[in-house]
Amino acid sequence: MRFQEKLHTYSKDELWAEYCGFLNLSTNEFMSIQKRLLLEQMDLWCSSELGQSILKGRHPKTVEEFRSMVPLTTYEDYAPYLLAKKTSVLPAEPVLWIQTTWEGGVHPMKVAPYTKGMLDTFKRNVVAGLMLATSQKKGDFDINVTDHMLYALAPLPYATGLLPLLFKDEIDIEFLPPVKEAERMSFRERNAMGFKLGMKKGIEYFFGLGSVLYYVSQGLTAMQQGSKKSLRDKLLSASPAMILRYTMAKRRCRKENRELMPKDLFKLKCLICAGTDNRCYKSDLEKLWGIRPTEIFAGTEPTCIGSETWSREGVYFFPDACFYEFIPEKELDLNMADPSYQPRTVLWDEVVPGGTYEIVLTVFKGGAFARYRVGDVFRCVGIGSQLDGNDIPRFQYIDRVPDVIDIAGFTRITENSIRQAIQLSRLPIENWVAKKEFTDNNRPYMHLYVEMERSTLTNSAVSVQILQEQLGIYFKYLDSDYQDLKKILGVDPLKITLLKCGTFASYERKFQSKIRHMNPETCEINDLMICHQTDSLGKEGSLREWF
Amino acid sequence: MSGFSWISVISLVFYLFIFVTFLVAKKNDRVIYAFMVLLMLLILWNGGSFAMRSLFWPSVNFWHYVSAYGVLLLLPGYFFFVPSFVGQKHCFGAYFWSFVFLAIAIVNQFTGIFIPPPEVIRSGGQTSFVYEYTWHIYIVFAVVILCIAHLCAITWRYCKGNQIALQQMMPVLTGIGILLAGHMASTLALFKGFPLDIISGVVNAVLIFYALYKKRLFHMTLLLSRGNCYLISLLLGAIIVSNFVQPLQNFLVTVAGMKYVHSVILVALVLILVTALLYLSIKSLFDALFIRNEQQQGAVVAQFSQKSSRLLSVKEILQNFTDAVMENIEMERLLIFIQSETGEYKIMHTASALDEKRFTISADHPIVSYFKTNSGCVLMKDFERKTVYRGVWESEKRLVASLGIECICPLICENELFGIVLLGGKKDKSSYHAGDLNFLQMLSTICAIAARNASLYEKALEESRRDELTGLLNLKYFYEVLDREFDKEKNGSMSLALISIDDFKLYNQLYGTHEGDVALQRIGAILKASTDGCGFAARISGKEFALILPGYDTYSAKVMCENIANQVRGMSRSNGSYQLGSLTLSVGICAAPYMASTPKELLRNADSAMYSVKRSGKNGILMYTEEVYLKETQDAQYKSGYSEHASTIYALTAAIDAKDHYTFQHSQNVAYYAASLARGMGLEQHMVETVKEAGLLHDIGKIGVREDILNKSGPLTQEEYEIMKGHVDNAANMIRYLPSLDYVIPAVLSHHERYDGGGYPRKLAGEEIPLLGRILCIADAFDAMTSSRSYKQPVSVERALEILREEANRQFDPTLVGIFVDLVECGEIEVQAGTGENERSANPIGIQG
Repeated sequence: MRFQEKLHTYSKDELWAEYCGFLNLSTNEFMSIQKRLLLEQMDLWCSSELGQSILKGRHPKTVEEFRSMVPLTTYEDYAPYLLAKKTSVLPAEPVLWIQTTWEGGVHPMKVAPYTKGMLDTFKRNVVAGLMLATSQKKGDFDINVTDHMLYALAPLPYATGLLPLLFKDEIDIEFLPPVKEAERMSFRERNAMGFKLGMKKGIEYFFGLGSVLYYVSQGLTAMQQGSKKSLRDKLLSASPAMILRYTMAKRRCRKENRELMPKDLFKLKCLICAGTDNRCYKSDLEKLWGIRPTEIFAGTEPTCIGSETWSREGVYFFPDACFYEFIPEKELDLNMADPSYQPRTVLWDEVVPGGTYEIVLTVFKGGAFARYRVGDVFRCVGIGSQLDGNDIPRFQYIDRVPDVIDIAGFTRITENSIRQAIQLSRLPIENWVAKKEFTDNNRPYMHLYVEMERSTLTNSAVSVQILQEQLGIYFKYLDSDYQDLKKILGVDPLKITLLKCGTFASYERKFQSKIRHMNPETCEINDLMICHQTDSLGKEGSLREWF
Repeated sequence: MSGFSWISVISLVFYLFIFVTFLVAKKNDRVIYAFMVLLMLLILWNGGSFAMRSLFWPSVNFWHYVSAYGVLLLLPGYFFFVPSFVGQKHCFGAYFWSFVFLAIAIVNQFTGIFIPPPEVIRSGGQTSFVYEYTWHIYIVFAVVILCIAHLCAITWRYCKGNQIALQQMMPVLTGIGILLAGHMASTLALFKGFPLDIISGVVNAVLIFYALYKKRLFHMTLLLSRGNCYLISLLLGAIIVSNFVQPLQNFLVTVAGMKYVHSVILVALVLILVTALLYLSIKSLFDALFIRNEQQQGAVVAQFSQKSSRLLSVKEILQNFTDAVMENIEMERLLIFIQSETGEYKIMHTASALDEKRFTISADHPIVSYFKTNSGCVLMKDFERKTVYRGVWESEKRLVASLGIECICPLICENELFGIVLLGGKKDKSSYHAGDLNFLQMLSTICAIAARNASLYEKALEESRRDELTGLLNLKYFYEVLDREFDKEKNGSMSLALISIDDFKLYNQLYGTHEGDVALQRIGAILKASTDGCGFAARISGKEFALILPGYDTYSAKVMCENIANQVRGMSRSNGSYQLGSLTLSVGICAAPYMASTPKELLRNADSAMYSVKRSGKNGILMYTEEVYLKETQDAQYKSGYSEHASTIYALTAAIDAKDHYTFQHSQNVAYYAASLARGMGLEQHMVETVKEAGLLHDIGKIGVREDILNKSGPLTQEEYEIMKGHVDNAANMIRYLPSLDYVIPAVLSHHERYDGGGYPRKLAGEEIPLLGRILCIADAFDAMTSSRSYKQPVSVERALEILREEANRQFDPTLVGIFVDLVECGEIEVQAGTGENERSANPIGIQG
């Protein structure tokens, strides 16, 4: 039975219990679902050719054996089988393959198989996510068949393109613009059409990457301020109720001496955001739409694994999407220092409030990935919530793992991709360090600290502008998502700081160690800058000045 | 009854009927109370109207105002009903409008300005009531419209975004609309005198009733009690009386010319008859419509309960349960899972013998978790919506879908989930309804209790029949089964194999009783697996087992026993930290009717065969034959100390075997050659036995000789040779501790003496050497020569006999050599298999062991 039919058949309480009942599971109940589903997955995965390529003839029978026998894996372990889409080696027959970017350059993309069981669970969990996003309190969700969803998500074969299909399978809410038409449109056209239709029909849900939602929302505001013709066109096709609302909103804005915002025109039931850096946009989005965004955790490899509730106190994991393990921060540091070190993991019921963890996933229902390091870092913000009335852990998304720089959910810049860009640009760069930083208004960017080769300074043009443009060109060449970042969001995510020749060598002399290329600690960057400053001034006092 | 009074009566009957029904029923929801308040107001309205139209005492006006109270307070009643219906709290409007309408009713009662009492017009024996409304009525209508608008607003608020609530509310809202329309229409001249308002009230009540039914707030069968049937027939009878008694009586008196008294009696009789017929018709109508099925199911439950209480077999109870269920609800499939000792639920019974029986429900399965907190039957589609269902495996979902499971019933007894029943879809493709679930629940509860008790009984019975350690039949039950099977196989064949573990006492002593128990369990498992489905295995004493093999002849029993013996010999010989010795079996088999005609005889003969194996070196299988019987008879005449000390001798020889495998086999061979020579010489049986035992023990003293000397491949030094020679004295010293075997000491002590006096240890010569010692000497030398040694190849039998002849009068007694050679040459003595390679002779010439 579709969710839509259930809306007519069952009471709200019954539907809440069905979809969101997991929130009231005890820790033991949650873990027993986790462990039981893992046993099924173990059986499938360990007997598959893919699993055996990692297990090398071993067959774990218990959860503990599984955790000790299966090493932590990365996409490299699966690439030979998955990129060739060899279905015969998989634990279960996939229904479709979902794609996402990997590293760019030599690793342009990665694919993940989705089985029927995974899709069914995905569907159930996104509906639960929608219910939670529209709820104001426990059991009080607000979903109607006549609702409209404006969505700012990439189409298939990206995972985000699955969401409209999954929703459509359950409920006939209207997507703005319709999914089939949207697939043929550019990003800008889609947004324009979406808002045009929204003016006519209304918008109840808005779903997308946090950064994109913000961009789209700003675009709406700008559009209202900008071309009067375009606005007139839109109003001509708007419903009388919308025209009335627009007129009243205009009056109110004039009175309050502020710009017209989306919240003046639309009364959203929910604003759902996914991806990285959502926390940079949440407050602004709330200001624009008058509703606090709800965050969900979803990805290409793991499907939809968690959602915030009405309390917005953190994300709760779904018990039936993946088996969750967590690498504690200390173990992660040890592993960063020595990549051959196998970090210890803790289970979902072993996390401690305040702890930061890299997540390790085993996808249930015939998924391909086992003990897979998807590369995301979470913090456990608490166990149990009075507002939510439960006793289970809730999490906050922190960022990607330090060796990946993800800007606004668009890019996956690794050390490898930066090296490639430098190599292709033929710029005489001696050494570099990249760090993800945030502007004053909390927007993410990649800060590249660069030291040029001393010998080429006399005969090469190496200004910051040239470096920024040259490297930008090759980042765009290597990573289409980087290009989208500029094209869609209109932001340049790269900032260059030129360091004096010999700064890195000076750092090494001073601290007896090399600085990490990717995302070193802020204090290490400060130390590097001290080296840069100290040597140039040549006196001690500059240190104090710096601070 | 005049005018449209019958309409009022019918509506009143209807309201009273429902009101009384709900009054006596269990009320577990506040919406039922709210509905009863509405009914009460409708009764006031209709009752007042009926009493007024019937011109009841005290006055038309009184009943008019009663009716007015009812109708005016009806809307505030809805303010209580609607929130209860959608599960919300009462709003302020309920109290506000109650006050307003109560005020209107009171003002109306004293002034009559809103709804004035009707004018009673009598013409031609007919009475009619005409209402003359003034404009004040529109004040009431305005208030009513406001109240309805408010009611619609709160209804909209409750149902907004909740389609299901809106859908459920629809009949109630329609009812209100009809009620309003009826009242409005009744003020029109067109419908003057016709009680449209009352009809609309009835329609409204029916719609509310329907809404409550759809919301499953009560079951239809609630209305179908015997009392209700009486009530309806009585009320209908009353209507008939009021309408037809007078005309009938007039007809009888005036037209038929009947006397008044007679007419009264006849009318009364007709009335009784009509009422009785009405009752029967209504009852059979209700039965046919609703409760026949329920009654049938009740009868089935009672019958099943009765039957089950008499049964002590789980299988039979489950069969009865299946029959009872299938009789009432025809379904595609029924699978019953019962909890096993491991905690998982295994299929114990299916409605169809063709159903797959291999899958199980694990103890941690979500359905088991669900039934820990829910004890009722659950539809599969409902279970799929539970949070615990998230833990169900995809393969399990596919299996359930392929089996078409639609309903699951728990078998719960004393708060423990004893079993689970999976039910397939109904054959008529309809869905399971509440009545089915109730029926299944009742049956499941009874079945769980009965099956649980039967299971406990079966378990206790089984335990009393089983050996605790091995799980095989115990001795007591073995006799029962033997008798039973023997009786069954009267016209066929049956074998009995008795199995004894060889040297098990020694095994226990060497490795401890725990290892011994483990070995017994493993042997038990082998026997159980071997006889599964074709016979019975029992443990009849500490180390003895029996196999009852119905339909087996001697040969097939032997094949099975050989297979078992091989498996036992091949059992893993390591306990993780050290190697264990292998176990061998002595098996005696007897088959009926070939060699036994009673169970007792069968047992005795198998026992004889087994002991025969024991006495002839163990580790063998012997079928009971006439020869065994004769041998056993002879043996019975001589009971040597050996019999008493056989286990000790075997323990000692096993110790030699562990140290020097050659010596063990050599001792067996020497015992055989010596006994054969003694028998050939015509010595008495006890002498034969003595020399055999001496042969087994003659080298026992080698236990005390260092292994490097025993196993040395090169020639011994003088010192080593001296040590080696010491084994004779060692043997004598050891045997001395077995007082009842001391008669073998002379033979053992003298087996290295030479006939010419050059032997050791006492250098005896000729006839001074005991006869048995001289026999042993020849047997020992012959086996040493014909066996392979580490320092020499075996010599041929002919050459060995030649050497014996050459050494006659020197090393050996010439008379005995002659007899021995003859016996070998004529085949009376069979040359035994060669021994190991590490024999170290204590004799420099190398022809003695």
